[in-house]
Amino acid sequence: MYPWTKLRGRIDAADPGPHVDSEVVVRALAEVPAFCQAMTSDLEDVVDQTNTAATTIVHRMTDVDDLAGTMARAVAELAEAIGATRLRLATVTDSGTDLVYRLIRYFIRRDRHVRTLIDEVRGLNDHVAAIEEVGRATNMLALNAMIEAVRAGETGDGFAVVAREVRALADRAAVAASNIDTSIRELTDRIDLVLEEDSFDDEGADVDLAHLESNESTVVRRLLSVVTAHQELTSMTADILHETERAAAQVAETSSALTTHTTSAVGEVQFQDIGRQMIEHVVDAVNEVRRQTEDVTAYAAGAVPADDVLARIRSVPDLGRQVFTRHRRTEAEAADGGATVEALPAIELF
Amino acid sequence: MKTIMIVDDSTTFLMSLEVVLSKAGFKVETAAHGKEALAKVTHGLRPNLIISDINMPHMNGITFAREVRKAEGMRFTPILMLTTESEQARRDEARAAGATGWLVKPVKPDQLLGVIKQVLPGA
Repeated sequence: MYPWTKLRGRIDAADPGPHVDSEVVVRALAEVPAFCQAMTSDLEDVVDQTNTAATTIVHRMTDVDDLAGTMARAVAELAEAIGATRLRLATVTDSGTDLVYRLIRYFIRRDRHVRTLIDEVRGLNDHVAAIEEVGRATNMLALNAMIEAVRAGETGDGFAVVAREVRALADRAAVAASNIDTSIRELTDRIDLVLEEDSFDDEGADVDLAHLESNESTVVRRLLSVVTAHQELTSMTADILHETERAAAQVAETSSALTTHTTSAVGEVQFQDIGRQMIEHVVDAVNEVRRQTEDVTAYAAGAVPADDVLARIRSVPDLGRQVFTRHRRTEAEAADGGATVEALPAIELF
Repeated sequence: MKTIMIVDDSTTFLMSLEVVLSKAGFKVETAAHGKEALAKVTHGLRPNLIISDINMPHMNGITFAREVRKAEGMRFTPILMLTTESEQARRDEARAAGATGWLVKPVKPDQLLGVIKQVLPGA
């Protein structure tokens, strides 16, 4: 290509005359319409593809917007449901906690009362000891009476009988006192064990709920209230989980659809790459048209010899670039007398 | 996870295809031209599938396909040419170089994934 700025001065000063060969001009400009057609075809392709891609992207984004709205509503409904359930749970939990604390206080009071009773029962041991002491003294008296009866001889026989009976009574009193002492010890030990017991066993597991509900015991009624509160908590927790599961499934479904739409929208970005290549092709063609018109103008101005102009004439295929679909089809149809030309498949596996 | 190598000089195209293939569960490797892609293969990368453009700087897709076939273990790796070109002569050239298939841009993501399932059993 000639430096156009230098040529410009020579062209302005030139006087186009009979040295211009029209055949050279015609040959040099003959390819310009083909270049223009290629450019037009490519630009129309760019416009079409851009329009198609933009329309598709707008549709996808609209779908994405709808899906995002659906997801937002689902999440909002879930949040609202969870909020309401949280308040109900708090109420039920507070009520259950209050019941449990009242039961604990009840059992603490009952334990204290029982322990007081045990202490009082243990106090009975003092009386048992006194009885044993009386028995021992009586026994000693009976022994002394026997001695005195022996000394008295026959006149003491009746007294000896009385003394033996007294001694027998004293022995029986001692045995009874010992038995009472043993019973008190065993009883208090067993109550201690019960009070120290902190494990649950299956005793009473066969008692049905209806029987429990008919029980008028305050403790049982309170325990049943705790059971009811616990059941309500469990039911509400199950409801929450069910709602959460349902909302999560809906969010997952919507997310999946969102992904499909966004992936599709991302795929449409290919038009940018295709458009870039087409525009690069157009730029090459524009440069070629400019060069050839500059050549012709320079030749007409007498600045460039005809041979140089003819030597640099190039056609569209000379650009060495691909020819895009529309232009290729137009060319093929022109060559085939206007018949429609089938395009090659867009996807072909060899 | 199967690995797909995408070779294209368009950054936006690489990015968009990487998103599509990653979401479909593939590990994606990218290269901006045939020379870079061939260097990765030479250094040991063994993708399960290659998707390559044709017109790229430094080394075009057809030359890359021809060269990559010479690498150990790459003789039967599917190579899909994904390009704006669609001339029969270029397709024949690609097939002779060892390409497995030809796709004309633009290709829809589901279409591309369908072709990948065809050439990549188990994908």
